Amino acid sequence: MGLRRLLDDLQPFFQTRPAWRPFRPLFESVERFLYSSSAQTTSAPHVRHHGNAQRLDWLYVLASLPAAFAGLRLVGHSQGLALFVPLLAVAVLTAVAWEWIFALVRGRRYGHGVFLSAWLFALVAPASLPLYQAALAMSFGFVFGRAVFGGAGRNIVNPAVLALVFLYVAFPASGHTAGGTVLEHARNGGLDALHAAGIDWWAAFLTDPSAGIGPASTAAALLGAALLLAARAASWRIMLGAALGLAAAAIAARALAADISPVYALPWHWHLVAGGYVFAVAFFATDAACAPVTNAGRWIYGLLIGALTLMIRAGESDGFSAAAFALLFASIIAPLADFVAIEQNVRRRRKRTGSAGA
Amino acid sequence: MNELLAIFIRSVFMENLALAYFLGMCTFLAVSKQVRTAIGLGAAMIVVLTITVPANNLIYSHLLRPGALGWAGLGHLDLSYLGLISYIGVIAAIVQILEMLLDRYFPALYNALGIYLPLLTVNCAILGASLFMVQRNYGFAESVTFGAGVGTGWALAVIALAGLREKLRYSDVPEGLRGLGITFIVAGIMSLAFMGIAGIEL
Repeated sequence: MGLRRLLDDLQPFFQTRPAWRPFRPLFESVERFLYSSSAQTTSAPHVRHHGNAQRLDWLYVLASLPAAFAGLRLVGHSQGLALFVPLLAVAVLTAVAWEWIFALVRGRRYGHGVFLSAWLFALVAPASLPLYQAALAMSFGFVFGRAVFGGAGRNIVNPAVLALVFLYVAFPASGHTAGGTVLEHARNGGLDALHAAGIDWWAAFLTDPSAGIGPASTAAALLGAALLLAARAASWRIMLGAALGLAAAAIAARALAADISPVYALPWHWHLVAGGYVFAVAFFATDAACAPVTNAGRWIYGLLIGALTLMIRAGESDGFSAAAFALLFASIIAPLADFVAIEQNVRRRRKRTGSAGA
Repeated sequence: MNELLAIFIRSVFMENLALAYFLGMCTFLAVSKQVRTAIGLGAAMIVVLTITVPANNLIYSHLLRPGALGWAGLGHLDLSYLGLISYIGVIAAIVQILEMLLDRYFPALYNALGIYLPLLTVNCAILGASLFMVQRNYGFAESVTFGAGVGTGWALAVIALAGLREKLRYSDVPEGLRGLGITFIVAGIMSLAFMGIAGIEL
């Protein structure tokens, strides 16, 4: 094929000619986008699997497509696209530009997952967000959430989540999604207000209008989650833990703190379909770079996300923000969840072997 | 009871001394390289704060506050200008006792904390907590809760930071940012996350 030969012909120039060499990451990013990577591991351990990190990222994009379509359909196709496409374009261009800059200046490879971060950010940001704010937020999230840590897989928080939180804090007026979400009705008058607005549980399950484009439909997000689980790309422990955590916290809050806020009085199955929670858990909580790596740690992490989301919801009840803050907080605690799990394991093994070794 | 719980949760998250007021940063940044040491330091902070804030509360309300000496017939005196030096004295004494106890019973932790243990005396988070207590007119029960709360919050922050810094060993940070630079960035991100918890309604 002509294109492949062209790239093959060009490649030596980027390796040998000093004037071309700085632009090697640029070339590689284009080549990788077109043909994936053919780089092979030369030293042990060799992983024999068709999946690589880049394919995993695209699987996440694929799995989020139903949610994206459902969200766009809800806003109205033409209007939704007119808002979403520029937002996505700005987010992608910003992220790609920063990745190039860091790759060029630091002499590193162009990493994977750049498009994924921008895509997820565009899905969860408010559709009517001014574009300069989108560029600023994406820059902050991408540089301080990923680039300064050395790029893909080396970050400690999800860049898209950090960008979103930056948006909430820096531009509270336009950063939050507003409108008749399930949580907003619940905040104004509990279940009665929801019934008065003509929203029953199934309607909320299918659409929660203003949670953002991506998280708008819990049903579509569940479909994506199922795909990720079927491909074994995401941890089911995190997903189940997060669902159980939110449900348990909701039941506890309803029993103990219902008088504090009407949001606490909402039954647990309503909480699960409100505010784009399933989308947040499926596509952000399972991000392998910032989630714990031990199974016990993953349970702790999931449960924490659920409990925190519920607690923040009483105050930050509009749209996606409660889940976003809970995700950011949980990824900060993630290394500790691993620490606890590993310590427990050490203690158990020491007991079993009866050794007092250090 | 509910009010005390609210004070506790608020002082752990929203008014976190390290991440909302940026107090005690010196120790926060210096002793957060390893989770195990950070846990020890966090426990020390909880102990010191839970003792010093109520102790200073007693001193303030029974000796220093305007009219506090009424029981001795000296109700016209206002000794609150002696506050700062009294609080520091109490803190220094408590830290000294803690230091001796750690040296005796946990020598490993004592050595790991090194100079930062005696330096807790002049840790601004600890003095700051006592000054907040005075400023907000907390009673005795509130002081105990507040002291334990800010201590727990600070401990949580330093342990979480240590966990992240251990994880950062796998990162590829630009040369100029290695060490304290990236730690400040991480602390900033943590601060954002703690800010989000401020949405909790009590």
